[in-house]
Amino acid sequence: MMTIAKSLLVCVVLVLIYSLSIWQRPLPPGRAQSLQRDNVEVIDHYLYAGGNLADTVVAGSSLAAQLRRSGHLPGGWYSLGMRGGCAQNGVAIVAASPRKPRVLLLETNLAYRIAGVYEIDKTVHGLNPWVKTYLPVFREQNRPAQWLLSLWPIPSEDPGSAASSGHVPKDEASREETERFITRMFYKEMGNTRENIAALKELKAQLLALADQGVQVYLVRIPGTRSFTCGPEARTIDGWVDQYLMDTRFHRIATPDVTPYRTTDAVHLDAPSCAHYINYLRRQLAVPAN
Amino acid sequence: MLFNSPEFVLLAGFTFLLYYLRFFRNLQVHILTAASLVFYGWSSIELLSLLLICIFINGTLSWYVCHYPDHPRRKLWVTTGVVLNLGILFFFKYGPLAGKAILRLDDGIGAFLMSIPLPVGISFYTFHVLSMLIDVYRKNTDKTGSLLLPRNYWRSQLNQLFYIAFFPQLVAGPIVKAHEFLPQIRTKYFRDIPFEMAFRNIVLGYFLKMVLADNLGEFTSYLSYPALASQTGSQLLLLLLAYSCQIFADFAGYSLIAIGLCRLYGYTLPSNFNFPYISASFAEFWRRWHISLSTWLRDYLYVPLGGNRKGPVRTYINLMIVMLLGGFWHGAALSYMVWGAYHGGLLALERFLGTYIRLPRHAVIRFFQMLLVFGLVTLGWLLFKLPNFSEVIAFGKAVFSNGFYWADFRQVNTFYILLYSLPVLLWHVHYLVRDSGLYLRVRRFEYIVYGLLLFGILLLRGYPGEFIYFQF
Repeated sequence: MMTIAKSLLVCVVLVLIYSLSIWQRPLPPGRAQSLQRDNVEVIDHYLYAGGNLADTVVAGSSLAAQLRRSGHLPGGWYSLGMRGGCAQNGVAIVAASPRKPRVLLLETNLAYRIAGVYEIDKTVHGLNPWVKTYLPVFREQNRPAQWLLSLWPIPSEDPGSAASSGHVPKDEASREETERFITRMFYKEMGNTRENIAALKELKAQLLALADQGVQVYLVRIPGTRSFTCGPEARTIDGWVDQYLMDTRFHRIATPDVTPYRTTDAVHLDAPSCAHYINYLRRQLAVPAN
Repeated sequence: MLFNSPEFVLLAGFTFLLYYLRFFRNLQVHILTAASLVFYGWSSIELLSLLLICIFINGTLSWYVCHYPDHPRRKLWVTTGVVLNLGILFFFKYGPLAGKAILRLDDGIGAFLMSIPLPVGISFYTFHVLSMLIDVYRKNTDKTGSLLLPRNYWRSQLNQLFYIAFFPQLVAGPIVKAHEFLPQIRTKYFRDIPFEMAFRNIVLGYFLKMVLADNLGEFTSYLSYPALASQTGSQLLLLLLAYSCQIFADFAGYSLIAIGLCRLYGYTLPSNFNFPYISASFAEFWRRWHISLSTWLRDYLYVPLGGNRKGPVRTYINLMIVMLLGGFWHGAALSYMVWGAYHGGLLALERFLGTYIRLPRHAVIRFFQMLLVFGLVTLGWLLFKLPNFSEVIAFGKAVFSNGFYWADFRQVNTFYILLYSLPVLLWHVHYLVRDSGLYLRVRRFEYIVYGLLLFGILLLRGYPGEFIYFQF
């Protein structure tokens, strides 16, 4: 029995030491080991570490996540873009938070999709809110794996680089083919119109509930390559958004001309384009730029 | 119900409390059996009824075989039981495959076969049932001369139900043989529990499963089609290494938890893994990997087929038969058979070469042998990860055509994959140095290691995933 008692004691001591260590030297965000964990980290930070103090929140998919990963989001902004997820996730997180933002920018590119509910379940329900609020050591960002990574002398990935999205061919023909493939993959859940429309209607109900609580809702469509932004799928989604999501109480920010925007893989903006687009959004919201 | 789910912890804990109460001492088998039925029926009550019917029929046959040793129809009873069990296994496990391969999916029978659900753990409990039938047929007494099954028919049914359905080993083994388990059924006392041994098994098992296997699973999901097509060759090879570590951590973890839990209830299960990745030959690998299955196949298939007693050609044929059936036991897909044939072929080739080549005993040579065996075994796991054979071919093409970049090994992903894979490899290395003086001195401080493992379980868990062997 002594081995058991000593082992438990060692575990408790280690947890205390580790808690002290991350309290002294907080770990940098954005180094989670997977897309899901990256999402959980973002949700944790929003709900339990003061992220919900932001005045302007962007909810959306990995397109909106890219704005955060570019590092160009201004102070007072927070992106609840979920990689592999959708706008519903961000809206659900805002709804779950006791503090609401003044402005909610909703990315409509994939608003018809339902994905990534798992992360919300794991973060918002059960004992998690209590544990994560009072014991920061249990937040996703503070996993010991990230701490070990911070000691490791390897460079962090450039967000949205080829390395982070897998093998990207170098030659132009293959690149075009890959872009077409990625665009197709991105819109692959568009097949079931009834489900897509049901998702949009549900999202509208959630947004109206937030609007009732004083949140200003803006619908935005994040640009990508011309075929991604202006192709037939995008036009179909625009039609759905007009018909099933738009409401007189919501505002809309027009999609800018895609010409100056560059992407890493046809759909996700590269870092300079993210900065460019964020500035565009700020101008549209009439927020003075720094 | 997963071992790493809160409902399982509640069930196991509550059962443990009731089990050792003086008041319930005479009902210990009943309590564990009831808990086992709750465990199995939790997700599907229909599949529980199949298990109960199967055990009832086999229990009756085994009881007759055990208590009528001179009956002329004894062999017929056993044969009926074996055919019946294999028939049930074939129907549920291979029915969908037959439906897909032979019949049209849109006609009535084909569609029906395709819709058959696969009962969890059917491969494991079928082997338990077969072991019971064959063991009581071969020898109906244990080492002390007592009958394996009680004279009372209903008591015998209960014991057999308990043996087959005992929840720690029901769905993924270890496959404990009837003659090893049935003599253990007797009153258990709290004072006899080997707490430290159970603690070591359970903590190590949960660490392997929840920290290593579940975290690696987050990466090896990219080793599926079509995601693998967008990975570079170097990333794919790294992911394959990760999968090799994941499948060990997942299955060895499950087995250790099962063994530890059984210890808490006073039962001893056989060890299922003995550092398989240090094997210097394929024969040695199969003596160290999934030992309970290997010994089951040896005792109930290889030896009755003649083993190595009927000349070299029959030995090679027997090896191929056993490994092919072993592969087929894992799943109803062509790739599992190819995997079995792959290992059968390697065993036969190794045996053949061994008669002509004698390598000197040297640490360096053994090291390279270990690397070769590990590499080829790891390559074989691809057939587990990608049961659709065309996907295996797509993997091969992607490895050679998507390029090999050293820069891939400097990525964050590589760090995480190594973080969760290296403990598996270190665990094996520790076996190699276990007799050294330094190790014996350091071992006094093993509680630090277990403290670290608990720390990992608490703060470094992966997303809970099903045990890989549940699908078998």
